[in-house]
Amino acid sequence: MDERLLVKRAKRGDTAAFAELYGTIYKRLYQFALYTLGNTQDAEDVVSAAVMEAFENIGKLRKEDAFSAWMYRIVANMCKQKMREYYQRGEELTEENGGWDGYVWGDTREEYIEVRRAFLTMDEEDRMIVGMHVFGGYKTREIAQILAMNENTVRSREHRALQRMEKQLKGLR
Amino acid sequence: MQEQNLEEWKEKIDRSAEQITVPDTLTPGAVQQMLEERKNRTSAGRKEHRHYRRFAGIAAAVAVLVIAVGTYGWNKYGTDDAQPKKAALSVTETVDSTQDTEKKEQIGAFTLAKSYQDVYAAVQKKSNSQKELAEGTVDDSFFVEDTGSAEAKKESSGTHSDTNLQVNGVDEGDIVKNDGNYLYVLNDDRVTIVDIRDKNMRKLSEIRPELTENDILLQLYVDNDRLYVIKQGWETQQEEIQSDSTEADNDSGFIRCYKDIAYEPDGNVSTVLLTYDISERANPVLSATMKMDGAYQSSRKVGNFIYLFTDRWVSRDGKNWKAQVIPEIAGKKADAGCFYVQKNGTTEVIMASVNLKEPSKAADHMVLLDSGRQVYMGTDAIYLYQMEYERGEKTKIAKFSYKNGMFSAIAETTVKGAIWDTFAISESGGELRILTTDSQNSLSENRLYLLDADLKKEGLLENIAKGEEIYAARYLGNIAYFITYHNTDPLFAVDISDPAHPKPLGNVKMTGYSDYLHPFGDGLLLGIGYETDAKTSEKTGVKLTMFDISDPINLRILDSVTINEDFCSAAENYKCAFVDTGRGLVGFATETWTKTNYNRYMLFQWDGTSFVKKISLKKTQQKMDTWTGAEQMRGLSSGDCFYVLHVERDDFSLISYDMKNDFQEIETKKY
Repeated sequence: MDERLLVKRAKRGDTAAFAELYGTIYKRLYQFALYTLGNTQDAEDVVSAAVMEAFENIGKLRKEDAFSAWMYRIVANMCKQKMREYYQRGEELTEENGGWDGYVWGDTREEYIEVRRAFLTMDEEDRMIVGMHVFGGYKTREIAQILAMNENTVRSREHRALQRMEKQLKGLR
Repeated sequence: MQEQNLEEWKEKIDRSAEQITVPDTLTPGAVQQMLEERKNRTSAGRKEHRHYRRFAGIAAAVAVLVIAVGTYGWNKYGTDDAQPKKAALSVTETVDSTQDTEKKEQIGAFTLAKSYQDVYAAVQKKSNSQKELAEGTVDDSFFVEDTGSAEAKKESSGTHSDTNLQVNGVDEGDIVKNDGNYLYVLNDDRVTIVDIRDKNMRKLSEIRPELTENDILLQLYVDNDRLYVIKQGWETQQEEIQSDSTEADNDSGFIRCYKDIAYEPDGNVSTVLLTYDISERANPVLSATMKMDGAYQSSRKVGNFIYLFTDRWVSRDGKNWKAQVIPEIAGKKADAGCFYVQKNGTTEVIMASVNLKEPSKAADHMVLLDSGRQVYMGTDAIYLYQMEYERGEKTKIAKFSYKNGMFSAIAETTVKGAIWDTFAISESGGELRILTTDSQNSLSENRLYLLDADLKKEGLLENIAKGEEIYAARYLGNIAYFITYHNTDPLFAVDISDPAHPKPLGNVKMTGYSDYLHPFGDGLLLGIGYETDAKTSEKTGVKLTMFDISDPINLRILDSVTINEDFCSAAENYKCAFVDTGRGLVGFATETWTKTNYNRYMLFQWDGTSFVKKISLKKTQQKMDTWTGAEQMRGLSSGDCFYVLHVERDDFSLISYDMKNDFQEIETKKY
């Protein structure tokens, strides 16, 4: 069904319409949260909370074909908050303290664990930028809009982040 | 690193996530159930709440009274005999609207603040910043383009083209400006001045304003020897978010820890007007800077004034919320008497006027504490409008005059339905005409409102094209033209010469729809939009249509042409349309989405009976990361030259054509 129509229905409190909208993006959205946070439990909490927020506030979504970008923005902001909590508690998630549970995500072949490990060494904003590109399928311009960042900054940061990641992975071999 | 490698790494990341299973609690089914449960709980909870709220409401009213009385004893108004004592609490309609200097105390639901205390009291109590994201998200990034009205604009057949505007005489900023002799091009972090006085384009100079990592240049204006650049700045600050969720409405446990998320990115967003002296085009000099709080929403230039509209979210979060609630404009805190407040305000809409003779100051300012607005600015007044979806679709509209840069509130009103098209709202001779679509019922309804100078309803036409939605509109003289669409596209004409009795005249149907209507000279109306499949409603191409409106009772389609492309810039953003009715030209850019995306700039000439293709310039995506879409392309003209501009990320290209010589390409330049 047409996305705009679904959004309209969701605005009237239609949970089925909302679920249908959400259904088209939820796998990717969860992967995005997981790769940003590095922890399955936190990613689940964040996506779940984002769903509640989105449903409560969908009446204010004026551009009705922007549902997906809007969901990503909510999740991104909640991830930022979550990471702020980590810092406040003075604990960064690492493999050692068990906060980062990257070994148990899906495919556990060493090659993929290495990719995830390298990904998680990126700066948090870089993880979001690259994550939105990979999982959300967004263009640089759109990512800049979603994250309220300068487009040029987004582009150069992604470039740098991936360069770093490559270097790191090659060093491992 | 090669772009290809970059892509490879992204693919690897993607593959590493392939086998990840999403927790059962997050499947669409589980989510729907969770939402259902929450809905039931909150609707039960709401009933309980109501008693509490009523009680709280009385308590709050008492508190306000105490504060108001207290304030009146002390502040300057208390000792000012001329100041009426009734003010703050009584909701009186000020009848006298002729005095420009006196501000109205009340417009619609808004009250003019007497002091900062009134402003503080009106800011939303609960930390509802979450909701603001929701709104804010959409606000600042997905709605950079705003509002509009519709008079026939000044056409460019004379010497050179201007930005395609909503309202003749009300200039709008864009990524390129053209004064006939020079082009001023905004490209990322710089503005380039290109000399086009003779056939060979020549770069004269480049302005690189001082920018921090988060600053961004947005739009340009040019007025003789001055160039104005609008910049948005963003000062980040790592402030701890205060938690004050003491309210006992955390009816779902896991949401609690997120209750106080500030959706707004940390930091202060501000908008800056930079003025450059370009009397020597080869040597531009920064001559003034004016900074105001808020994220850039829109701007206009009328005569000697630039009007800036920004907005920002306010809440009672954080230690310094009171200081943050009062915005700064040109280095000064906004005056208390310039606020129109409404209870539970969550967003400030900030308007400032800048007299271009003194471009480092604000001539006047006004702040609306509300929930965010879109801007429509006619030649006589500013209209800030906002859709509401609670208890039916509605649009709230507040009207302000702006004579000589001084703002004055006039009235506020609410109409049914939402304004879908930028051009559906239009002012003429003090009257306001609005076309709305109300889609809350399964069969959407459309209405045409005619409001007088005080926004009182003069006339209303209902039952227009039930089940369809308004896609495009234009008001020409005494006739409202509009496109509605469901699976065919009728163009309607309604006689509005007697505002009390709007009268439908004629309509004509065709497949597809127009998203943008532009008057095309004598008795002609141009539609730019899409062709659609009559069965599936899927877009099948970009479509141009020429309507004959010389007899509004018997509207006719003269010709249409469908182009096999996916996206049309002018259908989405009127500033991307090039229209020269004198030469019969219409230009726009399209996008085609295949493995290698490409844009195409197309220029058509109307020969009286059909559209004739004159330019078809294909620009294939070279590097993904520096590529920009059709919305970054513009057509411009000066003298006998036509120019196609494509602003990419690292550079921009200009291609010139000789209009006298059947649009032969002259040269291509890349800067």
